[in-house]
Amino acid sequence: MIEVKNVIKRFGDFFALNGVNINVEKGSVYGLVGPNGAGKTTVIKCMAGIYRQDGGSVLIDGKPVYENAEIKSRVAYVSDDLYFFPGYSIKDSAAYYSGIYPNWSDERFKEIADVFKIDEKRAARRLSKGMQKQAAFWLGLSTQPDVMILDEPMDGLDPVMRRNVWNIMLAEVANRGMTVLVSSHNLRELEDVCDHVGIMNNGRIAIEKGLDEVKGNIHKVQTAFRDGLPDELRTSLDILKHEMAGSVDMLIIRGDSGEITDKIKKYSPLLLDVVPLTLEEVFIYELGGMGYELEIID
Amino acid sequence: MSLKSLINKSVIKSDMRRYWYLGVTFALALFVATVLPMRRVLLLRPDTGADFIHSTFAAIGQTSLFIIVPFCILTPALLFSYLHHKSSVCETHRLPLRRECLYFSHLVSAAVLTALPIILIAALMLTMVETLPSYILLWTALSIIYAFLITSFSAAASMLVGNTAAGVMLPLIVMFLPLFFSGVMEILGSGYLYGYVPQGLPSFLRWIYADYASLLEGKMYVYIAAGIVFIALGAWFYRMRRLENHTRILAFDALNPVFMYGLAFCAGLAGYMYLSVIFYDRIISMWIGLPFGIIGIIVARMIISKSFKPTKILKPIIIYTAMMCVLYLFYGADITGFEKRVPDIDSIASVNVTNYGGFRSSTNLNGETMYTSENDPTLYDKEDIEKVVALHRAIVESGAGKSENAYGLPITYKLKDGSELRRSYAVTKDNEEVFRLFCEVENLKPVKCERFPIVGDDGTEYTNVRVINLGAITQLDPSRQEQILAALKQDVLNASYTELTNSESITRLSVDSRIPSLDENMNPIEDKSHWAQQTLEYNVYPSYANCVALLKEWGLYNIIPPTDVIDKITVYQYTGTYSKAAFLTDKADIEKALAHIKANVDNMKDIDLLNGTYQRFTIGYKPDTGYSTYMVDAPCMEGIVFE
Repeated sequence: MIEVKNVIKRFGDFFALNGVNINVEKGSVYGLVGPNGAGKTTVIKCMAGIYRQDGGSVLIDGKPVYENAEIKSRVAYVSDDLYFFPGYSIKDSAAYYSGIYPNWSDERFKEIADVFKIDEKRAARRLSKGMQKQAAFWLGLSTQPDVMILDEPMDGLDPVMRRNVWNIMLAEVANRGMTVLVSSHNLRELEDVCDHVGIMNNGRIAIEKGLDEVKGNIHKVQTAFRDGLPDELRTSLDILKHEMAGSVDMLIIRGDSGEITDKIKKYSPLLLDVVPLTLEEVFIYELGGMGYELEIID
Repeated sequence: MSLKSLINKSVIKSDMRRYWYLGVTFALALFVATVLPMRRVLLLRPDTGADFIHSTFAAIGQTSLFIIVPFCILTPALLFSYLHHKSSVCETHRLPLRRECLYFSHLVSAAVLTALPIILIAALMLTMVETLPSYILLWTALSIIYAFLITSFSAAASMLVGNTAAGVMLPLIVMFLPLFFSGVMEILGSGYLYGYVPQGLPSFLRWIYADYASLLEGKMYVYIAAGIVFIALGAWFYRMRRLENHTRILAFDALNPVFMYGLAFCAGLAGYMYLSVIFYDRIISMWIGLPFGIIGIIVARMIISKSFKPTKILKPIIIYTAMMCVLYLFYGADITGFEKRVPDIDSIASVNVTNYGGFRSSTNLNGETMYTSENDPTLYDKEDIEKVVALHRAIVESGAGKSENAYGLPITYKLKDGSELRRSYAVTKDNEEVFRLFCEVENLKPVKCERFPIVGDDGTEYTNVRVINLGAITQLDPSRQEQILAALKQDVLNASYTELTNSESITRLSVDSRIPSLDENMNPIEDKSHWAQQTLEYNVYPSYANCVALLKEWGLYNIIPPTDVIDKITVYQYTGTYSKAAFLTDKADIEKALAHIKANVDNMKDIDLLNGTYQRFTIGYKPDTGYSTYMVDAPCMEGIVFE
């Protein structure tokens, strides 16, 4: 559905994107995560057809997005930095979009109105940030997009509204096969909705896998040995982090959980406990291995 | 590509909704500038004729051009202002519209906002002047064409900048840039090159500045073509524009040097102009002005990088300094040999030594300014041309005439290859050889004819001649008129330049003639019923033997009116920029003043050389004495007590 191939984007001498590759399958919910400055917003703007990439290609259904009105008419983009025309109400904006998006649906606009509960005659610029976000979703979903690209979409929304918005979008995914690409720092939330995750760092995709695969490939292991962690285990396991809590070894290990358990059991541990990691922990430990580590300030 | 893919109605409707006030304000401005004056004219003169309507429209047309410029610059700048803000640029370009569609849709909006008010005002005027709609239709068409040109230019300019204010300023800067550069060249030329003649705006740059008359003459076709080119350029700039460059002053890096060196040049010129007032020495001023240009570079870098810590300034400073050195060498060292160039006689087709505005147009030297080129003293005869070239060569070799008190001498050669060589000098009496050659040129018949049309052989029809002696006017009968005109012609031809500039006389001949009026294309009108009357006054100098003999015979030469008919003489003394007044009523004072006037009345040439210090005598005669008030300038008379 969405293919980003070796995309390069320069701002002057700075490479914001340096050979990004992303594949988002139709009907999936793809979470794009990464540290600040990783290039998430830049690649999203390339996907939305706003920026022209300096190299590589951005395709939706095999067709370039940039300056392609037909493709862009199937894409809804909700940015982190919303813009409404001065003096325009949501109703005015709807009228404006209805003349631009061929798939605009007044029926859909009215249907979703019950969810958002915003007076459509109010000037959009006078709404709170959260209400503006709701308006953006309202208008975006009314275009009946095949692809929704979201940049920090839930920023400013209360928990109930977040759940409502996700419910509508996931219903669209389920019913119409809509594809969602979402960039967010709220990894807990992404963990609930995404089926694929891409982790960006320094203008590249570091990891791109299914969520289960990402989480299944890295584990937190708590173990203890009578004479300490054997040296053989230190070398045979792909240990990303090692901490001691008293006599208990706290290990973050990459690899298959069964293999890791088997290897440790050979050395007769006094304690062995494999704990699943959250996406946030995966993010922290994976990027830690790439030099983006938590700094603990005493 | 279909029209539908190029224009989106929703975008246009949105533009109209957001920027309707531009069109309304434009219409109001046009209403005040056009409809109200027309209404006033029609109220004052309900039976107004076609000519009057036409001239009224010419004025209206010019005024409306001045109104069109700011509105047509502002309208596209605002319509495309979405390109200059991070959020709006993303919002707009995520829409399923190609850039061409956005561009042309906004252009249509701009066209509606600028053309519709013109059409509405035209419709309003048509209801007022039902009999002559063609002028209104022409005004409408020309105004729309000019609006189209400015709008398309402003739209193209908006694509080059990342800031709306810059989008408004850029077209204005570009419009005035030719004037600016022309001014710089004029200042440098006048400052450095002896003999340089200010050229004014080069003819190809005059196309930039519209006037109603030139639009009527056919400039409009060029403007339509230029407008189309600007639209195409704007579309191309938009296509090439990197949207991430919003909020930058210039959206294209390639324009940064243009902006930077342009600002440096402006700052350098400003510094030069300021310092030249303080130092007077142009060469010192220009070198001291150099740091101002460097400051311009630093400021430009600050603006470009939006930081008070400019970077990458060393290279442009070196380049700018090098450019200035080249410029100074070009003008200061005259490496092109401009100053020394005197054309070969064989290469000259004709030469013109016109001196409009100089002493030759002074009434004290008997001429009145003739403002048509056909009165220029153009020399075709080889011997005459040789004299001008000899004078030119002497001036160039001696460098004469740089003092403040000098006679202006412009020389324009028309060369056989079709080109023109123009120089302007100031000749003084200090250099005897140069002044002798100058007098020879001034004594040439075509040159003399410029100031004294009586010597011309153009078949002028003379209608009346009067003799004036300090305000006493005597009408000559027709037979005497013929005699005195023949005598005057001969005397003027015989007189030397020195005699004409340094003689004494209080007797003048006032000569009426009929001269062809000129049509709007400056061509003489043949129909004599439209000819104008011209009155020229000729001094009668003592060297005018034929005139003096006749006037003495008729008792009309150098008659001083008796003192008892004079009521008072008011004397104003002009010194530089201010004046003082004195009133002479005592008989002895009046006689003394009359004697002074008689001795100096024709020395206006010398008055010119007195650094602006001279006296103006206004002789007031008593009523019913047959004399009219007379005013004359003369060098200062001593012994007058001013208030």
